[in-house]
Amino acid sequence: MKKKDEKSGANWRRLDNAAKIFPSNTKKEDTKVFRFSCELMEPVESRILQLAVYDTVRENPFFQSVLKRGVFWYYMEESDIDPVVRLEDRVPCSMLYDQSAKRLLFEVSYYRCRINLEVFHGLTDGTGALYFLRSLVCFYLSRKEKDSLGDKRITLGDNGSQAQRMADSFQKYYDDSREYAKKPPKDGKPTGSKPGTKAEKGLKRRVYKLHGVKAPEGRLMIFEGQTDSAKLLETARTYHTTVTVFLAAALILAIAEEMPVRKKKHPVAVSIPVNLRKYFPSETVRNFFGVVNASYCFAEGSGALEDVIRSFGQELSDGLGEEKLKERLDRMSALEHSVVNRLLPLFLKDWILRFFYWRSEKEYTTTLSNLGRVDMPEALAPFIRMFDVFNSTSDLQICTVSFGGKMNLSMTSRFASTEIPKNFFRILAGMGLDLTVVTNVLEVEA
Amino acid sequence: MKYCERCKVKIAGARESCPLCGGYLDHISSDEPDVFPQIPTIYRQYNLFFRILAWFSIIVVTVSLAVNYGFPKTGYWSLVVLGVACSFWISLFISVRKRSNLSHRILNQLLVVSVLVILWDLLTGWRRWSIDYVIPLLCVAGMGAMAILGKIMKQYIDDPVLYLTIYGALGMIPLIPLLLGWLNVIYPTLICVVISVISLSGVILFRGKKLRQELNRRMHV
Repeated sequence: MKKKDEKSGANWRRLDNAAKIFPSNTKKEDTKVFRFSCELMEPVESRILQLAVYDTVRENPFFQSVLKRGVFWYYMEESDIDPVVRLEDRVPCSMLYDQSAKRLLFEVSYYRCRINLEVFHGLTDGTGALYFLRSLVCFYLSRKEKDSLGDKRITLGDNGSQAQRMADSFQKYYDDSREYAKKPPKDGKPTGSKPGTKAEKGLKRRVYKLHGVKAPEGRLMIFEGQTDSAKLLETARTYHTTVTVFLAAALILAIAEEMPVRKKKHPVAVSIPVNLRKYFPSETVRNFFGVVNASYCFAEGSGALEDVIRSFGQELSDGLGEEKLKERLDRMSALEHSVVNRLLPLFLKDWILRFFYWRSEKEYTTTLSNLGRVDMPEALAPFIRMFDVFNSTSDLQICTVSFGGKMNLSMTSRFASTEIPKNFFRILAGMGLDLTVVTNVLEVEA
Repeated sequence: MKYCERCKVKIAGARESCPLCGGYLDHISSDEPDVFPQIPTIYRQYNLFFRILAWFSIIVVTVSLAVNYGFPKTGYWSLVVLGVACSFWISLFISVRKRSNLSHRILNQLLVVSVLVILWDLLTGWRRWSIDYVIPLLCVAGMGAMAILGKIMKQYIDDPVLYLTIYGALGMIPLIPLLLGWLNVIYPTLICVVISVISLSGVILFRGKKLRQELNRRMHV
């Protein structure tokens, strides 16, 4: 790996708006690391994988960065640390960002037929990480399957330049005219920083939070449900809704089965990350996402699946919409651009950001992230079995992704209890879906 | 591949019981290899040394306080014991805390020791040995450590240029008591200030560009 020229100084970059919250709030219980996996048809060859990583990093030098503390803000600096590929030997989504050590913010590992890419959320979001993994798989398979594919290098076929991929789209779309401040606050719409207090939302109560004994060593428990994506889409269609709303409804019902009766007056809220590239054109591989929270209250509804789908779906579509998302983008960016905030020293910002994050966590019970369908060049499809994604969480979360007709619903949980995963998969299986469950949970010796 | 009759799902991997409900699984086809490697749980006991040390300190301090209380005529020597124990633990805490890199930790350590030493001096009659000897010595030690470590142990030291500048600037602080006439002995402070000026000018002349770049990125708003 070519070493960066010490005399000229390494390139550095500010963190994008969404990334700024992550370094202050990273801890062992929630490492803010997510993992994308690609399962191939044949076992992974580490030597070829290492070369593929070097190729991918050369095309996306932004990924080879470390996070550093400045006086006022965190920032990222390109580094010459070697991105070494490892056989998977640690608990998934272990700490990547550690204040005391200079480390890369991503890691590639492999186990049997799977290539794993773990990324610290301060570096990029799901779309960015997926782009990196897809490039990596292209480079890997182009080298490995030279016999069947020929010498021509297979690429993803996208047109973005390196500069476009490294762009900070939050900066690009931030409009400081403060249009959002001129409108009266809408009822029941949670913003990034204001809590859902009774006073603000009228009669709405605090959101239900999950509690329970944590898994040994605080490990992340993973439950992957593999199913046929066409069948899932068809099932969602019979309820006249999208796959995201359908899965969110199933998750809400799975959680509700464990709620004590006295807590049913608290709504169950699901946080849905939204890829802003769909609304505001951008080729960036850095963070560019927003969040919409929608909920369902069992004290106010029948609790039947149809009702949850209808009510939740309505709240979600109210929250999605270019105007609403732009408003949120402007509001969050304004915090970053305010002169007073900029001049606060970093250690104060850390405390403030920890406080804001703690408050924002009170606005949702769980998160559902649907990353949609993964596209790969046709020539490579026969060598790939499936893609998978899951995220570190301090309680419980679901991430889904599909490829080649197969969808992976991956639930991650810090709790020792397997009731909610059990309920969730039983609800789906009960609707006729054929599920195969894969887990990292160790079997308890009898 | 196994099947759970209760959950109505297939379970991949070599397991006897269902990971969701704990029930027995039915075998339906040949076992597939695990997707996740088995990572055994590790029982970490690296805190044991510090816990023993802490208990030892508590024993020493409590016994000396008790003995001193029994023999009040011998003076307040147990408070000295308590002071030493507290200083030791504050220093240790600063050096072991994992929040920052090595350069930062050395700096914190020097600052904390300086403060403790001045407090000691104040509490024992303000004979000024702290500002006469110890503080200049610490500054020189800091600059020396940074210069040496920056050359030898490059991989542990982050941004030696920046930290050398910081230490150099701090080395100018003993100038204040010197000019205000608080010192009894001036030559340690003089040595410290001279070394500090040499360090700072060396850094600015030979690594000025890098220093400016580093300050630019650290101080961006």
